[in-house]
Amino acid sequence: MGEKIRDLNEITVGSNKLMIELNEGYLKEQGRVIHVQNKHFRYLLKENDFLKLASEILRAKSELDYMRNCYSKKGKIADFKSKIHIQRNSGEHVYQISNLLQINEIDYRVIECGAGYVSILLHYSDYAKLKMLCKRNREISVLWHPYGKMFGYSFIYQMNPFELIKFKNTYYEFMFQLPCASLTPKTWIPLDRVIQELAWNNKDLKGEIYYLDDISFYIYRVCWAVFKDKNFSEKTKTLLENLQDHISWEVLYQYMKLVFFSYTSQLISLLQDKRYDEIITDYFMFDDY
Amino acid sequence: MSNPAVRKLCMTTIAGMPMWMDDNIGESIHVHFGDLRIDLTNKEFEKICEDICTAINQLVQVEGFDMHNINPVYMEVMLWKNIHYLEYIRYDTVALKEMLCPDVGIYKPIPDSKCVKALDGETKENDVPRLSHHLGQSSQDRLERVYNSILKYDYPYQNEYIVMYGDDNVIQDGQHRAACLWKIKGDVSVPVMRLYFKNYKSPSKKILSKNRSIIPAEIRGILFMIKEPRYFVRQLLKKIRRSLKGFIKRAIMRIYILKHKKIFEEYSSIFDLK
Repeated sequence: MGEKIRDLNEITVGSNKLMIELNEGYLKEQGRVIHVQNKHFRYLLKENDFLKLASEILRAKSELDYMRNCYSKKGKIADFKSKIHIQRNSGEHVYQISNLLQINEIDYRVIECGAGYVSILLHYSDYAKLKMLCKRNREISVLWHPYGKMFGYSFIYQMNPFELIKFKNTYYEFMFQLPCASLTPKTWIPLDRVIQELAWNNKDLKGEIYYLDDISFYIYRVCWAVFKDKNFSEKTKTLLENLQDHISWEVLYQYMKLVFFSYTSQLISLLQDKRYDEIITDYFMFDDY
Repeated sequence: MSNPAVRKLCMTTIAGMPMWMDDNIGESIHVHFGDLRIDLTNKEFEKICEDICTAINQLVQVEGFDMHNINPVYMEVMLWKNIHYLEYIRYDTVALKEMLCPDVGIYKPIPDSKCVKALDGETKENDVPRLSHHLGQSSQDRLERVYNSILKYDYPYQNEYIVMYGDDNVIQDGQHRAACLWKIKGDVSVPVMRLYFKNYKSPSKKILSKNRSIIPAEIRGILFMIKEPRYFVRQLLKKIRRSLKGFIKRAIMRIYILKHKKIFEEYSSIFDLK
C-alpha cells in the first residue's frame, strides 16, 4: 500500500467531513495518488485527475458567479404568444374544434386563444386518436410546429411533441402535457406530474367549452414568461392580473413549489405585489438555497 | 419532473468518467462524477471551493503560490497540467510595450495584439470562441468586462496578476488585462507574476506534459492510419453518415417550405418566426 505523504485539507459534504490526503502510488509507475476519505469511505484519484477535478470545480464556481452577475435577457425569437392578443373567451374557432374533438371522443382543455390560433391541451393517451383524426379529415392540414422537433427542439422526460394543424382557416396547437421550457436551449420538459393531474382533474366549463382551470393556467403562463420569454410582456401581466382574484395564493404556492423550489415564497410575494419586471433578474440571481 | 432551471457549469471527462456540474436554481448544485451525484447548497459549494484552494496550496507547496489568487479559468485551461513542475514564483515589474501576446504560431507585442485592435474597433481577429470564455460569453463582451473592471478596480484586482513563465515576457494569462491597461494607461510598467517550472524552455518550445509525444501530430495521424486501417475506415464512414443525415434533413426542410410556402408565410407572421 502506498505510504501517506501528508494531509492536504479537510472538506465537508453535507454533514460528512472528508480528508484529502496525498499518498505514494501503489506501483512505481502510478505516481502519487489522492485519497478523499473518512472512517467509512474512501475515493482514490491519481494526482493529475484530482488537479483536473479541482480545477473544474473552481471553474464551475467562476461560471456560476458570472451567470448571476451578468444575466442578460436574450430576447431570441420573439414568442408568438406575446404578439397576438391572448384571450380565454370562446370564439367560433374554438367551438368548431371542440365539436370535432368531442365527436371523436378526445378529451381536451382549451389553454388560450388568439386571432387565428387556439392552444389546446390533450391527454397524452389521446395522441394516437388525434393522429387518426388528422389522417381521416381532409379539411385538416398537419404542419410542423415552430417549437417542434423539425425546428430543432427536444422533448425530454418522455414528453409528447407539440402538434400543429390548420383547420378552417385557424391554427390549432396541441400539447399533450403542460410544457415548460428548460434553460437548456431548445428543450421542453413537462411540468410536474401533480400539476398535470391538477389540469385534468379540474376544468372550467364556459358555455360548452372546457377550459384549463385558473391555477393551472396561471402556473403555465408564469413558467412561459420566466423560462421561455424571460420577460413578462404587457399581455402576460394583464392575463395574470385578471386571474389574481380567482386563485388562492396558498394553493398556488403548493404547486409553484414544484417548479420554483425555495424561490417560491419570493416569487409569490412579487406576483402579489405585481412587481413582474423584477422577477426574472431576481430569480436568476437567487442563491439562497 | 426535473427542475427546468438547470444551468450547466462545467462538463469534462476525468479518469475515463464523465464529470459535470449543474446549478439547479432554487434546489441545489449538483456535482456528477460517473454515476455518483453530490448535492450541495450554495454555502457548501463556496466552502468546498475554499477548501480545494487550500488543498492545492498544500499539494503544490511552493512559496508564494496561493491558489486563491490564481484565475480559476486559467487554472482549468492551462495551469493544472503543468503545476507539478512548478519550482518557484517571483513577482516582477514589466513595461507593457515589452510584453508579448501569443497568437497563432507567433508572438506579437501588445500594441499589435488582437485585443488592442478589438478595443480600437477591429474586432474580426479577436472574434473567435475560446475555452477561456465564460459560457455564452462573446470575445467583445469579455474584453468590455475586463476594461470596465480595470476602470473600476484598477490592476491588480483581488491579487490576480498577469502571469508569465520563466524570464520570458510572453503573457500566459492576462492578455485582455494587458491590452486594456495599454489603452487606459499607455506605456507603463505593471506588476506581473513569474512562474518558474522545472525543465521550462523558451516560449518557442512548450512545457512537455508527461504523456506528450515528440512526434508531430500530423505524422502520428498518418502512422495510426497505416497501423489501424479498419478504425480509420470506420471513422470515415461515421463522418460520411453524419454529413449525409444533415444533408437529407436540410433537403426535407427545403422541400417542406417550398411545398407549404403560402401557409408557412402565413403562420410565420402569426408565430413571428425569424
